[in-house]
Amino acid sequence: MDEVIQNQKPQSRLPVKNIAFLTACGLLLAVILFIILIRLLPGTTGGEVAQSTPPVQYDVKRQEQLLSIVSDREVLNEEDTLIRSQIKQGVDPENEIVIDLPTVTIEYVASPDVFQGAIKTTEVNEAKEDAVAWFEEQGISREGICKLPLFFYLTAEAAENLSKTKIIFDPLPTQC
Amino acid sequence: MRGSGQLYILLILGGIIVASFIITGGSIGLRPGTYTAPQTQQATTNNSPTTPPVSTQVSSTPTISTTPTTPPVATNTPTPIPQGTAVGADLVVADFKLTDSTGRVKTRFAVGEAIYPLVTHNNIGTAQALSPVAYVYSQIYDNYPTTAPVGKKSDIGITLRNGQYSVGYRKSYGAAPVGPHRGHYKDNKYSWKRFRPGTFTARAFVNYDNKVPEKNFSNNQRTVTYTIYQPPTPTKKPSPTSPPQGAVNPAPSTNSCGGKYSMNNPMGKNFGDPVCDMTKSNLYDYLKQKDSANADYWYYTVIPCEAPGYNANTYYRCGGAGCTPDPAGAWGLYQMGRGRNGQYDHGDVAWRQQTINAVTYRRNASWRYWACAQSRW
Repeated sequence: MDEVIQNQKPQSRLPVKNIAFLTACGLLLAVILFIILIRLLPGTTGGEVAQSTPPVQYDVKRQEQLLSIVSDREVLNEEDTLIRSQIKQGVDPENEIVIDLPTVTIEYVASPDVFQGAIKTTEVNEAKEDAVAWFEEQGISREGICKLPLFFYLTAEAAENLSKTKIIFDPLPTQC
Repeated sequence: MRGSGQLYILLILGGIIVASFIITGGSIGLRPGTYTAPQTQQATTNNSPTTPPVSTQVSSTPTISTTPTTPPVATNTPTPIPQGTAVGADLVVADFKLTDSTGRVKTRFAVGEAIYPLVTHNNIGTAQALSPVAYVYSQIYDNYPTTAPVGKKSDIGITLRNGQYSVGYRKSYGAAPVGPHRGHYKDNKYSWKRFRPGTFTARAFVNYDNKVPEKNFSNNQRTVTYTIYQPPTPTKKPSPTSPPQGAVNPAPSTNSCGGKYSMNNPMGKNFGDPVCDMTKSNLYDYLKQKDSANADYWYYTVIPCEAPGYNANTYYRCGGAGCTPDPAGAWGLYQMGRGRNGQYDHGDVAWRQQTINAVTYRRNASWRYWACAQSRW
């Protein structure tokens, strides 16, 4: 009998250890999988459902820079200030358009007091350069363009055409 | 016998003379080919057309005719020099025009419109134009009313290059995508733009650095005058709808607001701006009113990313960015649903109500609803 009991003990203790170990591993794996799942599905927490991935991804750092530009306005020099007010004067508040160039429509939006460029083409940099060149032709200094302030966004058509590319859209003029 | 021997010699000599006359085509010193008579030299600082060169066609027959021909083509056949003509190449800008991106010749361009040169070169000289640096370089200037000095580089970086120009060589080079011979323009620089209305003088200058010796260098430039105009700004058409402006959530309408909105959504209506009273300024004011602390974040970060073009009628279900998780799709400025996540998850309403819904939903939950608000997650 003793021999039988001694033989049985080691057999029964081993599976208990294994079960505990396997349970711990399973729990750990579940936690890891949960974290991975959360990471893979951004915006899906607590029942919230992000409606869609945007057609074009924006450069987050430059968006933050834009926010600081509009909230902490730098003062334009005298000449730039004068030209800026002349440009503003001719704008119809109904359509907010300053000038409609082939690649970009420049708008002045009165309430936030900003200039916006609606990019109409997939040649984003060319459109930005055109807008900057237009302001320079009016007499605004290169430095002054950043202080206007001026920022860009994509029209629905341009965004749709760019949605299949991996572009990270920068809303600011290149030199700002 | 002696006399008859001399006769034979005379006959042989005569035969040789006759044979050589037949072989040379009856005109010793002239071979078949096209001969271009030297053109009257003229300074081409104006836009008057150049008189086409008069060509002398020499046939294989003993008859020599002098008739005008079609523009001569490039040939590698060495051409003899007609008597009484100064030796040397003579490159001219035979024609200079401006086109738009489709290749259409124009002299009026809108502010910001791309302008492309179309230039024709011709060697009207009596010798091949060969450059010691392998290429003959030419320049285009966007506004240069006075004669450009030798070596003056293009102010807009448009350089044209070509190898040798044979006698009579004539070729057009269009910088627009349709060409012709667009590949001759260097550094992928084909066009320029102007952003101030006015009248300007574009100039073309062949062999601008005078690396190719020419017998006449005064006809290497040609100009064209063009104007830049400011197109009228599009005006917003008055809204024909009756609902009072300023209402928070007027019913969807069929008004496209002068073509501003498409009604490509399951409603088939203008739900986002039914009375056409949304301007960016109004939107910003309303955001300030409803969520002052985050108005800038909504206006500069979330909306242009979620709804490109600040379009209150944006509707998206599937496309380049995949499909929406909500089968009802994403609606409006904040790309919200049709009630799947509660009463405020509604983008299918007018822009003021869209704003109230987004602001309230964010207060009750978090920014995590919006992919474009990642920096606030």
